[in-house]
Amino acid sequence: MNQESQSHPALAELRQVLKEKFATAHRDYTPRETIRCGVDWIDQAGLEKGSLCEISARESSPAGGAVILGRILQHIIRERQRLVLIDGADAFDPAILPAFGAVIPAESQDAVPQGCDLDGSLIWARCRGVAEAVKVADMMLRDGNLPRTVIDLQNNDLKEIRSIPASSWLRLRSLTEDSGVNCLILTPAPAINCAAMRFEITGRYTLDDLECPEWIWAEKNTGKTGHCQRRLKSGGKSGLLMAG
Amino acid sequence: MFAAIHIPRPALQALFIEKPGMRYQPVVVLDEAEKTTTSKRDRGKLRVLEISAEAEEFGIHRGMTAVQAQARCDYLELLNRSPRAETDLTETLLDCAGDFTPDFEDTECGTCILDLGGVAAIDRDALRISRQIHERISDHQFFPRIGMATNPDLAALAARACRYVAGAEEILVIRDQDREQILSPLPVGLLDLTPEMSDLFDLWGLRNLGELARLSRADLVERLGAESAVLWDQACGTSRRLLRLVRPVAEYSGTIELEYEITTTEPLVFLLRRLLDTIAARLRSAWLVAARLSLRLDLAGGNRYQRVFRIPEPCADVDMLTGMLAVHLEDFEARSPVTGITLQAIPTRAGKHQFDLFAAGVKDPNRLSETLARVEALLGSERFGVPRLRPTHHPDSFEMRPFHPGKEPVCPEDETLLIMKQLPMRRYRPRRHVLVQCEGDSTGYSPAFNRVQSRTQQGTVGDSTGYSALKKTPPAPAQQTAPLVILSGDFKGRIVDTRGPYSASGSWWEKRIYWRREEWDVAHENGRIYRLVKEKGEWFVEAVG
Repeated sequence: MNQESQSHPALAELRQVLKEKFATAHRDYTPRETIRCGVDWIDQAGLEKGSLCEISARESSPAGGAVILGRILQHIIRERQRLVLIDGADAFDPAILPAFGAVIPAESQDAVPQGCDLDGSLIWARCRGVAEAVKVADMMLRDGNLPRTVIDLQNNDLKEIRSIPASSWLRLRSLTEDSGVNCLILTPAPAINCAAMRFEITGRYTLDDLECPEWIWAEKNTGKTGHCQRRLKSGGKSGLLMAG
Repeated sequence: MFAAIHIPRPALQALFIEKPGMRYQPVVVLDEAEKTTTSKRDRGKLRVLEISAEAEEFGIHRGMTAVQAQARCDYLELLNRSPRAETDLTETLLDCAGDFTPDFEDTECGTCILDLGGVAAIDRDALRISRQIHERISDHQFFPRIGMATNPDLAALAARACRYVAGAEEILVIRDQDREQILSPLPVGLLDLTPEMSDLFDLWGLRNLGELARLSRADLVERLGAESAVLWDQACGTSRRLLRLVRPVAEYSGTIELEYEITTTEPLVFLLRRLLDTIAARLRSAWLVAARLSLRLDLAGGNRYQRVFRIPEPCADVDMLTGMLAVHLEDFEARSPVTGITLQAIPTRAGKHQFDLFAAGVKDPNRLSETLARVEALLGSERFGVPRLRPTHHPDSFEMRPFHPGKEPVCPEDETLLIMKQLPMRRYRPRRHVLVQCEGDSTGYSPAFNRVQSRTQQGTVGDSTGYSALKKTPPAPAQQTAPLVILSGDFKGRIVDTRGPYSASGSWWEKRIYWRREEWDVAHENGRIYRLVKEKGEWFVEAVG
């Protein structure tokens, strides 16, 4: 993403001065390959491969994060990918998609629910707190075999999330960059300072939305791109690329 | 050089091991396995398969019926075949063959051919080795005949022909220069002839191998087919073929019986690594890999612990296999100390597969498997895996199934399976108990909420456990009152809007698991949507949206 040119002229000038003075700290940034996650407005922002991204829901209903998760799952299953869902508060409802339903023989078509065999698509880790979720994330990211991980902390207490030392998040970020795993963290409010990208969900839902078809509340669940940081290993230092 | 060991009348000799008293009596073996219940009348019709030398003196020959044989000798013993004794004989024979060379063929019951190429030369060692083999077999109370020659079929023919060659008795060595001279006078019946072929040769007046060998091979093949070419080659002693070698079944296992008891994981893993070193070396030498590992721990007090580990990407890597066992043993708790270890690898050929261009492959399935085992040890198997909804309408009813790294992800053909039918909500597990003030309760709260509206599918939904069809029941009774305010817990506050009630029940046929509930979707004054559930008079917050 080359948004540097869009920023304020004075800021650009200041950056130019700093670049000349500290040349080694301002190496050219080469963007990584981007991947799709199935949420249009996030895909438009460009989700870099091997990045740690935070999606916070300060201005959104809790269902906002669940909708994002549902869209990611739809995309993962359609693309025949694998996903690790690390659920910090054990709040995920598998009934979100009929595909998770029991596989029923063809002769019992009248019975519900009917699903498909998703044993190779999703791993759901039902954690009992943020600390446990971070521990599981550490193991899965260190392994690096499964390229997509979602850490869902939206139902966890913000205080609990903020009690996790920044170094832990930094370690997770470093692991994502090393292993090329894409890690999305859903939080109730911005809490991860080292996130390479940050998105904010703005969708708010009412009781009327409960019965609406998917496209209506999915459309409502728009968001905005918060900020992006350079990756840690691009010259050995972290730096702010774009603030918004 | 090839050596053939031939035990004449194998069924009879095998029986003599069990019944040594009959060795010098007139005995015949009938073509029927022992313990077969045949009536006396039918038994008389059974054919004679093998005859002892004493019985032959009475003119009894192969193919006669039992009654005919008994007519010639009234004290003739009729025996049935013993498959178990014959198997023992074959095993003994192969054991002895294995003492002389690793390359040998189990040709038929009572005959095996040894490839002694590189072990001995026919001119120098033939007689010496033949005597050694003869002695070795004789030790087991069998009477073998040994043939030595430069090709397998000729060696087998030599073993069968011992009694027809003067001075040979039980060992016959056929060198290339003597081949024609020895083979020519031998009867043609020594070849493995079919009854039809035997009758035909008899009709043609072919009595010995020399007469058969003098016929043109091409003409013989033209008249009798390809199998006659094999017979002609055998008659000439020029047959060439490869042996169907017997290879012993390799065991990839190891056992350690401890003189001391192990109570901690570290020495156990150390010993397992030692066993794995040996097993993996054996596997590698056979170009195999381990597909599964079976671990058995013998515990003090006579108990046992057994577990089979499936290896996602079969391999013979000691570090990987040790790591996998170590991860499992980290959380293993035995009631008593370990006194013995047995580890067995189930081998397979190393997999070769083409990755699917469009499917997401796993880079290192073994490492992933180890990581999954670690996470499972941390969370527990009921909190880690793939969710699968149970076939019931009871909310939040699912089971956790293990994730298969080797399984390729699939996409359902039915696109409707990927549509979210309702705004997804987040569940509270366990659900939170709350006190709720309802409309009509004496609290003083004014009913400042919208009237209850029904969902389109309002009504009771029966449980479909056992894949039964849905059971629709009339809408909920009108006297049910809407919740007004949540009085306790983190959800304390006024309810500004409601939808419901949505009644559901299931498993009505069994009192123990019968369930009935009333759901309300409510808009809280804090702007959130909650799902309130009333069950047995108690209120719970079940989900938030």
